[in-house]
Amino acid sequence: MDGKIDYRDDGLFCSGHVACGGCAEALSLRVILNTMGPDTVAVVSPSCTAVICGGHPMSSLKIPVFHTTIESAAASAAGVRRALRARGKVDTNVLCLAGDGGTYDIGIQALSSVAERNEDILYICFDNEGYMNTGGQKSSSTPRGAATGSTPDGKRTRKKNMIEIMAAHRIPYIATASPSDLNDLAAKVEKAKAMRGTRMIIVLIPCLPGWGLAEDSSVQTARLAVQSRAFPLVEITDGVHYRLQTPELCSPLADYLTSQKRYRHLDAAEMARLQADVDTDWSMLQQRAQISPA
Amino acid sequence: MEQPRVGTDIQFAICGSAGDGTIAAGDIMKRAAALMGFKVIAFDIYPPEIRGFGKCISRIRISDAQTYSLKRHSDVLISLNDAHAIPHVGEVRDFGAVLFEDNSIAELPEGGHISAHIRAAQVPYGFGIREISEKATGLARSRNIAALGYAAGLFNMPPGIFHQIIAEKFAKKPRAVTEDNTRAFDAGVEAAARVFKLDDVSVGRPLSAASGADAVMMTGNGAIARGFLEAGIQAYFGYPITPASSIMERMAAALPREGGRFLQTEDEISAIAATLGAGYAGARAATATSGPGLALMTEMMGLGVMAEVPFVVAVSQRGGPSTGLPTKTEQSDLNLAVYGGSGDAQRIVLAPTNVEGCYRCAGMAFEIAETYQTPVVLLVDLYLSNRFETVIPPRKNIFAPKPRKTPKMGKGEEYQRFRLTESGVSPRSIPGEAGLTHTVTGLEHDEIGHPSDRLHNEMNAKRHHKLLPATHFPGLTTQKRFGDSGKVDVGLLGWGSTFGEILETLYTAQGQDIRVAVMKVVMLSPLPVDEIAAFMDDCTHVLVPELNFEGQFANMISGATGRPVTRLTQTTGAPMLVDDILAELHRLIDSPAPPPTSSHRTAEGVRA
Repeated sequence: MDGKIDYRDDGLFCSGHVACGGCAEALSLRVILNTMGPDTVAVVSPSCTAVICGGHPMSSLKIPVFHTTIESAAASAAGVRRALRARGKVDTNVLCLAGDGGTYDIGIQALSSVAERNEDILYICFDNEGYMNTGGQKSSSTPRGAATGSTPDGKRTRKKNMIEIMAAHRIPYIATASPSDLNDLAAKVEKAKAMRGTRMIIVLIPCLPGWGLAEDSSVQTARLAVQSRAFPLVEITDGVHYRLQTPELCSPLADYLTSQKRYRHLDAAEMARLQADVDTDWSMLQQRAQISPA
Repeated sequence: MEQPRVGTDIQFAICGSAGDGTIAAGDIMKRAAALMGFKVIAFDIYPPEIRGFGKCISRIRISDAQTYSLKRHSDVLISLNDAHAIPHVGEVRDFGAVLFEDNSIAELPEGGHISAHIRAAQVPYGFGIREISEKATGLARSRNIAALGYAAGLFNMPPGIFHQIIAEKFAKKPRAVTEDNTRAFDAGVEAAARVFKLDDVSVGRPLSAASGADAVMMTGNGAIARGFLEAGIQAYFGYPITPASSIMERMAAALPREGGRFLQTEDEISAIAATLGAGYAGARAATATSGPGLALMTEMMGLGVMAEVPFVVAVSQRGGPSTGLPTKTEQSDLNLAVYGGSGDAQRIVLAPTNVEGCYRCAGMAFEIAETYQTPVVLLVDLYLSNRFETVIPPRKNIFAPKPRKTPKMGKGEEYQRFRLTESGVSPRSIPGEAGLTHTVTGLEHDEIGHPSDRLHNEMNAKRHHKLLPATHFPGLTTQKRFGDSGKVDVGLLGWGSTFGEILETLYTAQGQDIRVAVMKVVMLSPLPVDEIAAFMDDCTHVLVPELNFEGQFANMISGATGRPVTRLTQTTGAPMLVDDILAELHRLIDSPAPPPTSSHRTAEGVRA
């Protein structure tokens, strides 16, 4: 890796947006939007993304944007797709931009139905593992142990395994990505863009205030998430073929956990339990990738 | 006059950028004032959760006598950031004080310094805020506290009380934080000691006999949470939404400690569905949301009415429709709260008018819900949810649940869960009570709960009539008249947070020799129609100020009494100004006769 970010930037994502200083979501959004290109309609549900997108004429996205309700990103996108078809615009991309609350929790009913019908939509979930725009409450994407406004002593249950849920719908493409590897993110968006049907990419976004991080540590934290295997990078095609990306450098989960305030109440035993969760998930993914590689 | 205004009535405004410690300084000021024994009303304005920039203002009104809203004009402005504070210099009254940094370290553009914006009649106090902080602590971080110390010194407020509050506020931080801030505070006091005071702002000693130590500083949401807890809430289900989330966060922290159950669900439908499930199973259960969440909950509200299940929904309104103005206040969900859902689904809706009201209504909501076996909506708004007031709670918990009575059955008698009784209230049993097993359904049903259309009209009547006595529920103020008795020129009818401004309007108008009375209506469903009609009988004009466009409450009053009212509506996202209500009141008095039909004016229209 020479550290160079290699993607075409046509300026579709503007500076002057209102993300928190240092937030990796803006960075990821820039890569995603420019890779998708101008022939794209965005459907956005209430989330940090919706705030970052901003309002006309100060929109930070130079494409048409439809802000819908929090439970409805996938369903509204299905409506947009049908209308574009009816108008003969088959090549226009329909891009959903949603948060984890709007994806894992309140939006899963619409998302599941869209996936079942294999609607022609690329669905991006910016996963900051909680409701960060309302002050930091847990979502079903919040990992075990993490403290939030509504789980002050740490969440007791595991993070919902969204990629397996989506894989069970047998949609053409599912991937996870991290702002610590923007070339990988761009490649995955490029790949998804060339496909038809329901495609989903979950991008991990370390939340500076929500996770208790310094302003310059977003990308670094995302990298630690990948290296510690807390957030594995994976691609699933047609719901059955797995490609698991083994990180070049590995680090213990404790390094990732201790870098964040949301885990600071954990003792060694609890950290060991979380390490066991991560190890189980990783070996499951390894098995799948061995049995049914992409 | 009912309440003469003497002694202290001072409003501080502290303005800075996010990160300046503006809200923290305001918090110390309001807590110190409360401890001194003053009545306090405070409201903070800060940017949404996305961090790093944006203006923060903390406004704190302290007074001897109870006040009901913030004042339009502040007496003192403390600037921690000139760029943000300059637009607020105008809110300082004549002979009020403006405190600012006079030792800027950065190059400023023309007009960039606050001193260029202070009017001749305002009194400027420039001092080296940063320098004081740095000399006292070695860092500029305590600028906010240094400025607070300067204000305390200038207005002769006792430093010891501030020391106590500073120590409490930073108790969880390393001790050096308290020590540094105390030093910065004292250095501020010291700096002000040498200053010749030219303003006429005076903070006296509180007249109030109530000891400051008994007063609790609460927000509306905090008061609701406290009321719920004292009433023995057993289960809370929630979903995050501004401005109701802080109720959920308080429940998440408190309920498990008190042996209750807390759950954050995946959406509002599940939140209310779980609340209803818990209410059915015999627990005191509640949820809280805002307008968009209530919109999703309306189907379950209907089930609650039909199945006669008691539960409580707190709703903090924000600007709508749709996502609307998530961080701005409005009173436009009245229709949704009272009428939302399918069919004839009358429920109880309580709208407290101040923080103490939030505490009392929340404390009584479960008992009311259980008495009438129905959903109770507690309707507040962002302005009430987030503002601070001093409340003196009773020393003994007056909201503790009373033991539930299990229905007694005669020999061979069949249990009828929905029996048509004279009061309309049927014998309620909960799952697990022997011999009382029954089925609950959203289908229309007969007296034993068997699905049937045979008694639809009777059941609708029962569900309607059983609620009517709630307007005289013991211990609950469902409406109250203030001001002049007998015939008046103008009567103001108000609900929710706007009633604070209405009450302030009353006191101002009484000082102008106008015959005026006001009535607050706390129970919005069922409406205390007789009392409202009697009040209207006394008024030449009836004015209804509220923060929505259509005049939803005015429509409700007019419809229930069949009489004309004058609407005064505004949707600016901010509380209505006392001056605007007063202007409309004067316009009505100057008009010769009551309007033949309802008229409709917006507060902006009055201003124009």
